[in-house]
Amino acid sequence: MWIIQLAWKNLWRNSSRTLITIAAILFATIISIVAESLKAGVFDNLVKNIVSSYSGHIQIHLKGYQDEQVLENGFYPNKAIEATIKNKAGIKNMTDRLESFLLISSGEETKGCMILGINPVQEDSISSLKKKIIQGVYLSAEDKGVLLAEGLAKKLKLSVNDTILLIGQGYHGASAAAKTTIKGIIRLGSPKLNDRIVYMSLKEAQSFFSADGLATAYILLLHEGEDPEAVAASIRKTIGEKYEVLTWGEMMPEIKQHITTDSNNMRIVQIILYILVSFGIFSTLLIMMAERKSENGMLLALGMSTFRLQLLITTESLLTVMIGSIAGMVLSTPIVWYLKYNPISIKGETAEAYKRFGFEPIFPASYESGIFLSQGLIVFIIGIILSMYPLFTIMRMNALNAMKK
Amino acid sequence: MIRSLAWRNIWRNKMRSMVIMLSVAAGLFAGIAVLALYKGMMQSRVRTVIDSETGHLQIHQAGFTSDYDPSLLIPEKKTLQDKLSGDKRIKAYATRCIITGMLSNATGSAGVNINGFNSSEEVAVSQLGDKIQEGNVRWEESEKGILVGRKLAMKMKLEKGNKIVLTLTDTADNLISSAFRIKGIYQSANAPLDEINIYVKNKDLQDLIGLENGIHEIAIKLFEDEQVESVKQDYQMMFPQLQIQTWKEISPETDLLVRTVDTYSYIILVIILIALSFGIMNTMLMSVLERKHEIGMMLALGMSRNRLLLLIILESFFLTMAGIPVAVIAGLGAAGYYEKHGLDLSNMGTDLMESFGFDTMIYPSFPTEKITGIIVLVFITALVSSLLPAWKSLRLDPAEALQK
Repeated sequence: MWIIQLAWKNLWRNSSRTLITIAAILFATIISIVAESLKAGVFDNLVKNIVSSYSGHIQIHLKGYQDEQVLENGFYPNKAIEATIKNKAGIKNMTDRLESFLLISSGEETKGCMILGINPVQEDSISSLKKKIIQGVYLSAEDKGVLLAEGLAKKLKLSVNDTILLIGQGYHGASAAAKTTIKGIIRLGSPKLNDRIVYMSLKEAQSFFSADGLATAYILLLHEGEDPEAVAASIRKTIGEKYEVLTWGEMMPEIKQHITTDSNNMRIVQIILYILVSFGIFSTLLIMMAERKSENGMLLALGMSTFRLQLLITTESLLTVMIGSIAGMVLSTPIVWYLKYNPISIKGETAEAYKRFGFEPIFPASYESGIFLSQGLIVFIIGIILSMYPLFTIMRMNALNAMKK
Repeated sequence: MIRSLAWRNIWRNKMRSMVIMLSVAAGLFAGIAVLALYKGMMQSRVRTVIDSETGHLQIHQAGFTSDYDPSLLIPEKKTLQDKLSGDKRIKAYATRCIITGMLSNATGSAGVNINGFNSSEEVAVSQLGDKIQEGNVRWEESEKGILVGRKLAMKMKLEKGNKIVLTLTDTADNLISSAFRIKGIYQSANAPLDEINIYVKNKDLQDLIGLENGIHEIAIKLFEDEQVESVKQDYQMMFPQLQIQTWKEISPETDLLVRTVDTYSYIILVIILIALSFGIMNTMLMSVLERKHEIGMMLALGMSRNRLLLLIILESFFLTMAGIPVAVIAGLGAAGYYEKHGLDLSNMGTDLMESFGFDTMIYPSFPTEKITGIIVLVFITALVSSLLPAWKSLRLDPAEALQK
């Protein structure tokens, strides 16, 4: 116990020196946390943008739908399943959809396209569809009209209130044809989607395909920071063999690969950053030891054992590093908070590339407690490892030489 | 006088000076490393897309890409090809016929993009030869051969040597079927594309749908990535009726990812500079603190505060100067080594990528074009961070500092 007291007194005997060492650790912690939050935020934001444009984080289908996307592989949504899924932690929004293919004709031109039967309100909470309307109005649940993606409308030379003909194949071979009007034109981010998507209310789609009550997928959007793999695994466990639960990564493996590669590569950058902050911490320790050389020599000369002196210095380092990293975690909170709500906005060509996809050109930071703790801990460990240096100098210290001025 | 005093001060405490010098070196090295890594990553990403998927530029008749109407052939094909062959910026180009159709065998049928190709052109433009896993990219002129992707082959249970039937509509809207023999199976990094793209010879496809010698697409590979825009503009001027797209327009997702990482790496660079400046500031503060007595003595002996300020800034300056060559040499060495041998990231939790056959190696590339900029930045950072310690020492009260 006296060791801790002595260490504490030592720390404040020369308060500016201690404060500088603490500051070194503190800056190291803040910098690691901010860098990691930004990294996580940038990639989370990219994922969020990508999944909310169409796929959602997780989709649940009848088993086999992913390989063969036909209405015959659809299912009848029921309250019991919905309740089990909704009970899982981490799910923000959920909706069911009926997806299929059909031909759309303006009279002169005919194009193949993909139709999504949606619950307008729930769909909007997942993909913010309402905001993407560039002409006309959004659908209501009972609406008989459709929303056309901009690229498709251009190809067919159609605009709002024009009449179109839909031709497709209904459930179990029933024929499906209908005449309807265009309620609105939407601009979808991905060029691939923008050229081939038509939205219809779920009810209308079901009656068009003679498939009352049928859906092909549940679309789930998760809360920020949730791991889709974990949520999917937990749903899989309870929902049974009849359904398949897919994460966005399984549905779009190539995009997942790219993002994983990039964010993995950024880990090297993080390591470089750790090396850099280690230098900052190490140099302060080094100078501290040089400065306290005669004092330590004196203690040894007076009969303090090397082990006790080492223990004393270790305790001092431990206290310093602890104060520094905890203060760093605390002080970085407002910084990360600020960067989350006032994200770095990007300009120039990058912003253009983002806008082309309908994404907001911003780089927000991610505010996750895990990042604060893990980065705080890493800097703490770095600090402790670097504190081995003073122990090493004491071990080799010769009391007489050290006391010489 | 001040200069030699600063110089001597540096060597008086070698350990401390070494640490600051190494901090500067580490900071600069970190900057170089980040840029080198980034450059390497982006090069390989862009390389994959350009070299094996899109090429640098693609030319179509306007409107062709929106619905692949087989009658929209490239007009003035001869003049265009002559121009392309004579252009010194162009490394190679490939002519293609493209039509959508259906592939069927005993197992079932699948919708496919039938790409007519010319083997020698395609090997140069899209590295088709390297993607072949079984079989060969060339076969007898008289044979009607076809290349299918690994993914499609697995789905349809296709093997080399099998016969399959392609069904498609010709330019006059007649439905035509024709049998082809599988000559090879290829695999690219992009599995979804492998499932829908199949390759037959241009001539076979042209004969089948009555195109005579017409083509739908020309993919161009350049010598230099940077010339994409200028080549595009030149040809757009000459052939205003054609649609000419760069790889960025054909694959906007790649462009988006590249730009995201690009911007992020600059943010990281700023963070590194901040980390560096804190490191230097702390060390210099420590050293001023440690030398309180000595500095107080100098002040007491009548050294002017301006000179003292100069002394401390000069010390920082020398230390930074000494750190820079160390970092540049280390950076060159590391980049050179890894550029050749690759930096293997496979042990960094990338099991997922491995299973997709993705490349986990990065080949960093020394950012020659940015090195001056980053040295200047590190310099400014070092000097700015010595201001606070310098100011601190100026405020010392000699009488107090001299007391022990």
